[in-house]
Amino acid sequence: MKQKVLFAEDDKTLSLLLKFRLEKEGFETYMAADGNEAKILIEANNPDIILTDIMMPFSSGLEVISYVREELKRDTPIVVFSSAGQEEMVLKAFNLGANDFMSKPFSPNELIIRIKRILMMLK
Amino acid sequence: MAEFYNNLFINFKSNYLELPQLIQIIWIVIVVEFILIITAFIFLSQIRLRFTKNYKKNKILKEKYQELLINYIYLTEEEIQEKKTIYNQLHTAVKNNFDREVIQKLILRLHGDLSGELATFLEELYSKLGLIQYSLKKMKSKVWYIKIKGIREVTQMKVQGVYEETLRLINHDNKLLRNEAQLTMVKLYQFKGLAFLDTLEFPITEWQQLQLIEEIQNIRNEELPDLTRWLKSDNEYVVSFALKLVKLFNQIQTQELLIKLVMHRSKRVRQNAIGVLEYFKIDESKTILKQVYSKSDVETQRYIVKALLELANEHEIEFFESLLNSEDPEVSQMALIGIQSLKPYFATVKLTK
Repeated sequence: MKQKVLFAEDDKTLSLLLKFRLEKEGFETYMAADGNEAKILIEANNPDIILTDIMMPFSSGLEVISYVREELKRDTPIVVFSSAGQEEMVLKAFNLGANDFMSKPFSPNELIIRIKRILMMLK
Repeated sequence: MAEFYNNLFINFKSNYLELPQLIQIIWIVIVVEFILIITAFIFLSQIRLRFTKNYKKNKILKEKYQELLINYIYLTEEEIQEKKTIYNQLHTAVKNNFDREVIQKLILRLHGDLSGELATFLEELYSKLGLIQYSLKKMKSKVWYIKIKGIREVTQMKVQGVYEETLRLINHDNKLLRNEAQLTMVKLYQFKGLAFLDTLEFPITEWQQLQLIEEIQNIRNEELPDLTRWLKSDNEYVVSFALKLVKLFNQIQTQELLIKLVMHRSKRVRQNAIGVLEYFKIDESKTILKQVYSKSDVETQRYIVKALLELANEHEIEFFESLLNSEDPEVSQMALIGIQSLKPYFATVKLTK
């Protein structure tokens, strides 16, 4: 069975690029354009891993993490993406329960390695 | 019908002419204003319509080209024919101004989020599609913010061959443009790019200096140029910046020049030089620091005493003692600390008194 990845990112081009790459790697993908959409997709599809940008419209990545940990009470691994100058946000994300972070610009190859490693550690 | 309108007009005209002159003028003003409002309304509606049309067109093209772009990125070498078709589509599209803007923005945005192989791939694509030429054209624009846009694009896509063009902007009247050009010189040409300091005629703000240093700290595997020429610059800001570089790269061999800078005409340079001498603990600077003390302003005097606190040995006790009655309490306090560290008993006696 394919492992499910949810990717929450408001930049559609980047989302599309990673969707292609993740599907090529054999993952089933769910793409969310904002935090609210991410919450709905997470609840409905229970992904194996969540990748989320910190700054997003409607609900931020931090709210998504809080929602997963506090409301859904799930321990799904969460990787956050941050831009330069968002170090404080990253710390908050870790405090809320994020498992890993990648700063933009990032390498999709590295991301895939990290996803596989996290999922392997969970097995 | 025509007769009806004709009679209406004649009636209106005769009624109008019977009105008092003031009322006639008011009527004219009302009519003119009404015409102006209608014209403005039509004009604004047209602009709004154009914006909406462009927005929709932009959205459609963005969807179209982002899909083409992603497909192009992930097509393998075996799918060469398909890859070629997409490339030709993109290549044709960039000839159209509107389409080119969309493609350019897509590539730049995506490039900003990616590093590694894909970032390099996008840089190559940007060049192959000839988009560099359009960025260079922006750099040559007469409008400063378009120039900045061009500079940012060539910097982001690591375009080489813009050295002269960027160097020409170093002394531009517009501060933002100058700052951008300076950062580009360092980002694209590393230490070689610092050559802009040779010709810079304008100040470099503290914030800009910090930004430049941040970029300089990213430079790897390059030999640091000789900083002495900038320590001797006529531009006091260049000297101050060079002093920061001296400290950052531990260029202690410049100490002779650093000592000379204690007597520089600029207060900023003098104070920065004293700070660097203190940082390197250059013993040879003590004599000159003591010599210039009395001729210096209060702020610089504090810098001097602070530096001497780091450099002092028993020979400075006398100097510190002479400062105990200084009018500046900060100086006398530092002098006391200096004496205490060199001659603890003496300081205790002074303090109890």
